[in-house]
Parts: sequence; C-alpha cells; structure tokens
Amino acid sequence: MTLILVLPTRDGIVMASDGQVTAGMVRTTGQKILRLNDRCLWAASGELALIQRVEERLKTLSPDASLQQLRDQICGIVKQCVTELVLLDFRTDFLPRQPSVLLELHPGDFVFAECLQSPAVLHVLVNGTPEWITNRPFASGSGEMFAYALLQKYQGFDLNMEQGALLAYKVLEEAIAVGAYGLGPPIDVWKISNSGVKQLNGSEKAALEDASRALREGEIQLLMGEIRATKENAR
Amino acid sequence: MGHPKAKWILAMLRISPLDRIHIMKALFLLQRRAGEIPDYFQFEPYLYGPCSFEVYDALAALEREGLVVRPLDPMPHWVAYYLTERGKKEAEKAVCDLDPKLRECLEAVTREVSRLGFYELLKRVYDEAPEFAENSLLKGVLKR
Repeated sequence: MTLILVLPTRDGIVMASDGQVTAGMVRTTGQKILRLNDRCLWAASGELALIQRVEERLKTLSPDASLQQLRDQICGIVKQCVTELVLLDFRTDFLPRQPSVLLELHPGDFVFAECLQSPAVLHVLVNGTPEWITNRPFASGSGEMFAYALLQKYQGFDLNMEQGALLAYKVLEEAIAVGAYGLGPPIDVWKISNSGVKQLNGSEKAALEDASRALREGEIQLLMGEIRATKENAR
Repeated sequence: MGHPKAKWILAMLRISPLDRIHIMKALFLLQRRAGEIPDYFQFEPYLYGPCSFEVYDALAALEREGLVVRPLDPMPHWVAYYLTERGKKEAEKAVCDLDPKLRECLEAVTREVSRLGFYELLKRVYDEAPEFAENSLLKGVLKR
C-alpha cells in the first residue's frame, strides 16, 4: 500500500511518498522514491515483485540520457517485466486469456520525474503505455484519491518549491492519518530542480511538519473566526 | 551534551514542558528581547515565521541522549517535550552557567509562551517581529 505524490512547481518538482512497506501481514518501512540517475527520480505503487524486477532493469539504462530519450526503453522494461511475471505465475494457466484479467495478477503503476529546462513527469501504466503529466499534480497508489481530494483546492495556483514541499508533506500526513489502506510514516520528500535532485533531511522535514501544523491551525482559525464573526453580526 | 546549543532548550523545559513550535518561538523571543546572545541559534523567516533548523537537530540530539521525552501520540511533533531525570540534572547545570539577567529573561519568556495557544503564540511573535513573518503562510490570517 502506497501513496506517491508528484507536484510540479514554478521552480521544479516535489516528489513525496509514505514510507510503509506491507508484505502480507507484515508491516515495515522502506524507501519508495529512488534515483534513476542524478537528475531523475522514480517511484512505483503496486506489487513488490514487479517493482523489484523493474528496478533491476532500470539500472541498465544510460545515466546520461534524458527522460524523453528513455521513455520507450522504460515502457519496454515495464512491459517485459509484467510479461515475465505473468508467464512465471502458476495462476496464469487457469485464467482466461484476456489482457485485463492477466494484468490484474501483477498490478503496478510507475512515475518518473526530471527537471531539465522544464518539469517532465512521465507516468507508465502496467501495460507499458506512457503518458506525460503536464501542469497538474499526479498521485499513485492506494491513497491517491485522498491526495487528489486534498489537492483539488490548490489547482491552478503557482506554487514555489517550498510551498510545494509543504503541500506535499501536508497531503501525505493527512492521508496517512485517515487512510485505512496501509499508509504509514516516515514521509519522504525530494526536490527536483535543474540543478539536480535533493532528499530532505530530518531537520528540513521537521520544519515542514511544523509548517504543516501551522497551515492546519490557520485553516481552523479562519473557519472559526468566520463563525465567530457571523455570530457577532447576527446579534 | 551532544549539541552545543541544546542547553537553551533544557533551561526552558526546566520551567515548563513545551511542544516543538513553542520551543522554537520561545528561543526566538528570548534572543529578540535579550539582544545578541553569543553562539545562539540563527533564525530565518520560514513558512510559519522565524525558524532555526538547528533547533530540530538539538531536539533530536536531546532525545537520542535520553534527556527529553515525548508521550506517545499519533502526531508526535504536536506534543510537549518533558525532561527526564537526567535531563533535569543537565538543565540545572545549564542554568547555573547563565548570566542572571539572561536567565530571568529566559524564565519569563518560557512562562509567557507556555500560557499561549498556538494561534496566540504566532500572533505574538509576528507582532513583535513582523520582518520574520514575511514568508509565513499565516500572516494574512493572523492580521484578521
């Protein structure tokens, strides 16, 4: 169970994820956002076996190529890995030969983000189909509906990277707090700019936690202040 | 103590348990009111007003050393830090080294801050140091 969030901003991209890894009845923590190279990050939701297999193959890609140049190779890797798993799977022979049925055996959803001249976010579906995500946030995993709902009111605003990091943190925090879908801490946050990728350290994340609290308190105060003002006007 | 500036936090927690934002703002107000303090935290205008990233490092060091604890909570960064028995001893040592006037100011600021709710605290800090509220997400809300 996962929530991956990619938030394009004025000066780059913020990528964030929850940190809980669930395997059967066992819960542990793990790194979900990984480096493709020094300028590009990737993450995935779905079956661990598929993600691991894709990760092994992604290491063979050229570290100097752009995401644009790598797009079709990445799609080929995803498609190949899914195909291999389907062929290896004992259940395959007992299922109808329909792609939609077979793909359900090994779910996966992949996202890649890079910022050269401008932000580039590539979403690769489990069937190998790529799509570029432009001028909007992207969420993947079991908590994605929470993320889209929480982000909806910020659509169309021109956020800088700091604001984007705070918003991503707050969305992850709130999704973890309410989601009954195996989401959990620690929250991981990265910034991607044209100077490269940077993972936020402990004190930077602590500052985001406190800023997130301030934002929540501000929302409450705004609402309660309005309620107080309405009551006073009514008197 | 592992962190050279952690003594300020211990001295404050000796007066009252405080959560992280109250500690941050109390440390800021102390500097603001007492004037220049050598080897002190450096503050910058951040998304919720004055912030020193060193405070987080110092708190993490104090927790690792077992000098402060926080009760278990789903939102651990919202709850207050308490001194442990060892922390209390270290806090006593820390205040003994302080200039009496500075100590008096620290105690007054800590008492004042501990009585303020989150919203009142930010409002007090922003009123006192508006230049540190310039990047704050709440400056518009707090003006209302």
